[in-house]
Amino acid sequence: MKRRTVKPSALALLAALLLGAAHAQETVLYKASRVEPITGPTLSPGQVLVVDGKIRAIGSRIQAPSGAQVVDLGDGTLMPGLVDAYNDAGLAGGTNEVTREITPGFQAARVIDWKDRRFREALSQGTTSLAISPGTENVVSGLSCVVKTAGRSAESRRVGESTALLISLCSDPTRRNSSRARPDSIYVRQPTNRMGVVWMLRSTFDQVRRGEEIESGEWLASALSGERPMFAVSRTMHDLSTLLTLSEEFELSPVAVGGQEAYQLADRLAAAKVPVVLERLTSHQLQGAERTELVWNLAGRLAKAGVQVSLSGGQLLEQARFAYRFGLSAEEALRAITLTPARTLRLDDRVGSLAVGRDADMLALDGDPLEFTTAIRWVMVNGKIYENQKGDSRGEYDL
Amino acid sequence: MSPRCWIAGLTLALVPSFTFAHGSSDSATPSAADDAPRWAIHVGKILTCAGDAITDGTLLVDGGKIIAIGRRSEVVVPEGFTIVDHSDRFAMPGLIEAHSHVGGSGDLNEMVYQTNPELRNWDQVIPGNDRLKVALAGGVTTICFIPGSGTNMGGFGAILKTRSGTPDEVILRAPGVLKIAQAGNPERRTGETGSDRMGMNYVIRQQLAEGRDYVQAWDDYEAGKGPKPEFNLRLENFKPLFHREIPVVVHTQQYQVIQSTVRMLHDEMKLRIVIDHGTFDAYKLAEELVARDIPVMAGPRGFLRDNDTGQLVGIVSEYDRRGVRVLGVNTDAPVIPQEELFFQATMAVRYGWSEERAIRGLTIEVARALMIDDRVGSLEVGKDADIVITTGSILDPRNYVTQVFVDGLSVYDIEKDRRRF
Repeated sequence: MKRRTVKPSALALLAALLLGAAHAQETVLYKASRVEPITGPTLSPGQVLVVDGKIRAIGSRIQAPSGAQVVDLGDGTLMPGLVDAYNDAGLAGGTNEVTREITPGFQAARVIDWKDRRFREALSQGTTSLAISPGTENVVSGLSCVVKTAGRSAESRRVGESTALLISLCSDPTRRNSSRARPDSIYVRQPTNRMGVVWMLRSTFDQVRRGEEIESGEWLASALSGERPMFAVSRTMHDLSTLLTLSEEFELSPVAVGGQEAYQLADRLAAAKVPVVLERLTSHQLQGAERTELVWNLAGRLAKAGVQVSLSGGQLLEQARFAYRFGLSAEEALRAITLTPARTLRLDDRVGSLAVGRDADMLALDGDPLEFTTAIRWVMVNGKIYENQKGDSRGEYDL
Repeated sequence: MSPRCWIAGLTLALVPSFTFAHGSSDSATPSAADDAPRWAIHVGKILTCAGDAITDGTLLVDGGKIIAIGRRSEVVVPEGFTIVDHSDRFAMPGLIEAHSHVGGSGDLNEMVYQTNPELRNWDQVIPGNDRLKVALAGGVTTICFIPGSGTNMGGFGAILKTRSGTPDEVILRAPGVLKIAQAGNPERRTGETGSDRMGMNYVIRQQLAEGRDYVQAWDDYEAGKGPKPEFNLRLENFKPLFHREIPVVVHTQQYQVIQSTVRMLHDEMKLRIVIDHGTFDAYKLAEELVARDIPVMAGPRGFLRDNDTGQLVGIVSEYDRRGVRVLGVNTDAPVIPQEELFFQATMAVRYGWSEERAIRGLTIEVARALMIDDRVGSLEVGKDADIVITTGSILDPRNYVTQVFVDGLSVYDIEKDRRRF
């Protein structure tokens, strides 16, 4: 396995000194034997021009501006940084509010621990953008927030502030509402089962639809109208079926999250244009959360039916390799960890592909991204390269 | 004219004594109707539950429906029908369960409030789940899947077929019924009104009155006799209930409790009701039920030791002896496994119920009680092809089910699936 150590930051510093400018533009041309733009066909060879953290040009051969550094990756591959549409890295102080069920105004963006080591883990695995999502124990749990996994300031790392509204159409919100310790007055609050979860969602949607005032209702209203993505955690066949029923009743365009049994309803999900963000599935698990049935070719079966599939929950490259091995096409496997999650989050104008104007978030790999033996050489976020010199999750990153 | 209509028409011409009741293109199970094979089933004895049994009979099935039934010598099998020869066996309508909790995930009781008319359980239907697979092997093809009796008004239930498919394909009616529990289980609660029997009757009555007034206000508005009421999602499912399009299945038992069931739900609220346990000494109230045409789906407890005489009596046969005719049994599955529904009838026969009425009490009488007898419950032209093939009378426990058709699909066949029950 070849590893090249490139020190473009040092070169850039030198260049800046030579130019004598306080605010010099950093212009770097990256060359590789293979470039996967995702939005178009593979470029072989390919070149990407990065100027000040943005992609300025991409093609088989680019006329480099004078003064540009050139970084030649040789036989390496370049692809977009990976996008994780559902994760809880960086969420500090608990993932669930336990005193109430409907909390649409609760924002992950307010409690980000920028130093969370899980960002470093994600970065070492190639993830450059990540949607920090509240937990699943509230019926309406709040708003996710999309951030970069690395960067010097919080400001430079924020991509989306209140990106998607999370709802839980599953049994998770019932978890804490029954107490075996108090059998005389055991069930303190709705929902104590699925019927309650469905009712609380329907009644809340109904209130918002009829313009009734509810606390932080504006967030719900924007998700109901489709202005903001609505991520519904639904794993079982019956919950996914209910999601489709509610979508008809309230004219929603939701995203299904979890989706372990979605293959049983693949055609209906495709017809209703409901994208599915799958929870992590990489190895020989027999059951998913809520004892859902798992099939290893889940992503492949969904994609075949025409469902937009994203892989989520960390280890994205491994998940894509696993999905590819069990029937997802190579092209779909790469999209499922880049462009599709970016589109599902409606941030594809910034991340998820290598195209002019996008953030310069890239992975440099030794070879074919879907090959299990291929290693990541470095990860770029907003034009800055992060190298994992020790090859472990602690990393030597300067975040 | 579609081929299907053509065959039905042909059959009509050949078998003039059978009425033509086709027109099922708007069937609730479109995919079953589209894919369903065409069957010609020859049977030694057909218990139709719609008139006399037919010896050496033939059933024609197409589009998920029965398109002809009659003596084998009189039914001409058109081309394109797969012939199934069960000429040494019995056929009967698919069994119907009036009280089941095994249609989906285990979300039975939402235990915060005593009355929950806003809840519905058809969001948790899991077609073809493991329990239903065995239920099919016991001949059960339709179940009334209801919330539990942990609260006074557990929510609305759904009526569904036991075959595999998507929830849309198997649900026969939703809302199917309302579940009310009077006395017994909900009494265990404390902490809010409704902890004793007076309190429970109070909260049930209040809730029904609210629903009744809501439905009345909308009816008045739609008839141009009143102002537009405010929409209330919580009370919407009361509309089919108070329009008497669906019944209430009532968890009620004992003489005193059934009295209040009859008075409150039937006489005062004018609802269609089904007595859905009716156990202990409640049968002594049978005359009152007969006078009002109230169905009884008795069980799962089938017997009572009469303290006056020291005798063990069969509850179903006591209702029967007193003239209740829309009479059946239930399992309250999983209290008694769903597939053992016919054992309930067998035991009732052991205590004096007639065999003929017991077969009806597993099929058409349950369908009448649940108001689904236009679709299921008997083997007649135009009804769903839910057909159970057995080695003989199902009331003899030595007999067993060999094949089951639901919506015209062969969903259980011991030749292929091995025997599951």
